[in-house]
Amino acid sequence: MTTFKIAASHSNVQELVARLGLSENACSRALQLAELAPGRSDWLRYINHFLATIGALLIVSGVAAFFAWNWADLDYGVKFALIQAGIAGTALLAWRLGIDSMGGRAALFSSAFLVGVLFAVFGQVYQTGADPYGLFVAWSILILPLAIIGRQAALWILFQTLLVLALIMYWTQVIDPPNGWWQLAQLLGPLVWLSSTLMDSTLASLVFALNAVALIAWEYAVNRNVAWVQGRTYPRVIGFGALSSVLIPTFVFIVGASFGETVKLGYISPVLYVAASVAALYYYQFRRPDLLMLTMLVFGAILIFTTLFGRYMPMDTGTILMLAILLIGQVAGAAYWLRKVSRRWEAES
Amino acid sequence: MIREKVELQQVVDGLRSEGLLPENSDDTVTAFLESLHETQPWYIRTMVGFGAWLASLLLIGFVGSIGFAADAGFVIVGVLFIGGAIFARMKTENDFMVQSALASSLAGQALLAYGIVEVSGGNDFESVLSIVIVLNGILFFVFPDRIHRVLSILIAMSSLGFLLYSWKFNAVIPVLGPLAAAAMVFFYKRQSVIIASGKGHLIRPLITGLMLTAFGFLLLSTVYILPELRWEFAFYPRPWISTILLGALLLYVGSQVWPQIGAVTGSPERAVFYGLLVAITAAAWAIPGLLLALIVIMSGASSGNRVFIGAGIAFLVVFIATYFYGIQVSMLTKSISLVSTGAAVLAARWLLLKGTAGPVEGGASHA
Repeated sequence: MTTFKIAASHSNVQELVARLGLSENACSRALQLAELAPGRSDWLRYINHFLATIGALLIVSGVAAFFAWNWADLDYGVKFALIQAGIAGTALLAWRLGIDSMGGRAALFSSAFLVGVLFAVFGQVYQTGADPYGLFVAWSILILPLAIIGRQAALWILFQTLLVLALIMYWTQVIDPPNGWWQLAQLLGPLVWLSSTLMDSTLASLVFALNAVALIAWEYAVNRNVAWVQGRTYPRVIGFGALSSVLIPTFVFIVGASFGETVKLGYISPVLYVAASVAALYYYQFRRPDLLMLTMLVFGAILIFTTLFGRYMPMDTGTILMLAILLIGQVAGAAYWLRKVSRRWEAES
Repeated sequence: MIREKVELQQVVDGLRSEGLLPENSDDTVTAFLESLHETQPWYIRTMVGFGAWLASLLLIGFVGSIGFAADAGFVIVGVLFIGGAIFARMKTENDFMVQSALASSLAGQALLAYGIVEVSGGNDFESVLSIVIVLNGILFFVFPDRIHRVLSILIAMSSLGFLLYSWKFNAVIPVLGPLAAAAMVFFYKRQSVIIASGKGHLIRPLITGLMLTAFGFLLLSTVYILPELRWEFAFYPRPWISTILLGALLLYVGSQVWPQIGAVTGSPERAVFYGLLVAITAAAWAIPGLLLALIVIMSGASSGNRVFIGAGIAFLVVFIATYFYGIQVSMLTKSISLVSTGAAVLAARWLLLKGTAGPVEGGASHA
């Protein structure tokens, strides 16, 4: 009989019991065999960990609420002292716990995050008049040593995010401030505004380049067998960022063509999108197998192809039906292809 | 924190060696294990789901754009969509078809509810809500899909909430969350019996749906209406009613858990344990969501259910965030409530660990 290595989770065991129509006793026994029914020592462990986490979370939230209550009335010195104490305290905690432990990593990340809060309060108190991009540049420079020491993906993702934000801020405040309708995007929240800045092909290409360089450098380190870069979180997050920065302008380029909304959009974005997708499809299929990356790329291709088809077909009920059939075909084909690739990797390993 | 090192095959082998598996069950077991092995990763399923929903909506748009000669047309098309979805779901486990069936069923329900109201001449929001509640009550049993069953409960209970607001029965709202939580605890405790009676396909979506319903109603307790709007509408009047009811439920769940922690009945430790639960309830007077999170986490921990524990923790974080920005009390009151509840929880931890300190069975102490 073929054996499958599948963990006995609570839902798996219940599903098994339901399919086999087992008795109540057999159900309880199955949960016991799966070691899912906790004993006294497990309960004490839960109490130790859960209650400590929940209690600490509530107290930290309560302290934050207290400072929010009288923040405006606090003396500047007290504000700075509080944040700097937070930075020093979390750094000290990271050192005490060890920067490779879970707690130490969280503490070091908190320390890096609080550096930004300190800059924000500094700008608020002294009204320096500096452009916000300066805040992101200074923040990224100051946390670079922490990222190098910390050797954790989360810190490098924060560093990369700050670089991208600094670039977008510099572009939209100094090089080419937005005008016309794009200014309204600022009213709809930071995410909408950030996405709208990618409607400028030059800026989008620079953001893509920044992310692509970071991704290539990380994958190079992976190939050189650097131990701490072997996790896939960083390349996946940065890969998503790189893909979005060419996918969004390409999408709008197709939809907006002939609507007069393509002033800052050029062919560079679609060209970069196609080139990057082809290269990444090859790399993540044959050199560094990564099914999530392939899924992102295939999904992006489906979106673009469907949009292209919808844009240039006549606007009638027949087109709606054709679009539905096309979408069904593409998604089914993509799922089949991804499964086939996954099977091939399994056979090769 | 929960170990998941045991494989399903080991559980099957254990049950077989103890004679608890029915004869000739090998094929069923193999087919089940194979189906789990064949399950696609979440991101591929997400892609397929997105495509299926979009394609289904386009198809529905196509049907809708053809136009209906009479209001009865909406009823007929709605019934066809729901019937087709049920049939498709019964015949296949394919991800794409499953998601398409979900989308078709939801669109069919909307068309059917609208059609019935138009045909009957009711033409009001309350009639639509009533039809949706009845329809989902039936579909919970008829539609053979776990996600659809969870959605049925959520849609029916949300409609019930809207209906109560519409009838100006706002005073009942603080009772609904604790009631859903109590039903969840009741069914959670009896799930082995219900699965053994052949209703396993209903019990899990029922419990999940009740848990999400309770989360949803409790989140309403944090809704804050800007005073400038001068809108005299109480979304969640008297949240302390929820606190008292959930406090009682927390005590009940605690009474189920205590024998697994401290064995002695009537011992001082037991009194301290109950005292702490009461203290946590009192401290969380204005924050009933915290008690619900603790109930869900304790229930999950009592049976090694990671999904429940994760859901309880996630709700706790979301509730604290919404509580922080919402609810019509000052930041100082929020601060005092949060710090005192946190202190009560930490005190409970310290006392429990101190009070139950003693010989702890080595290792897992399972089985």
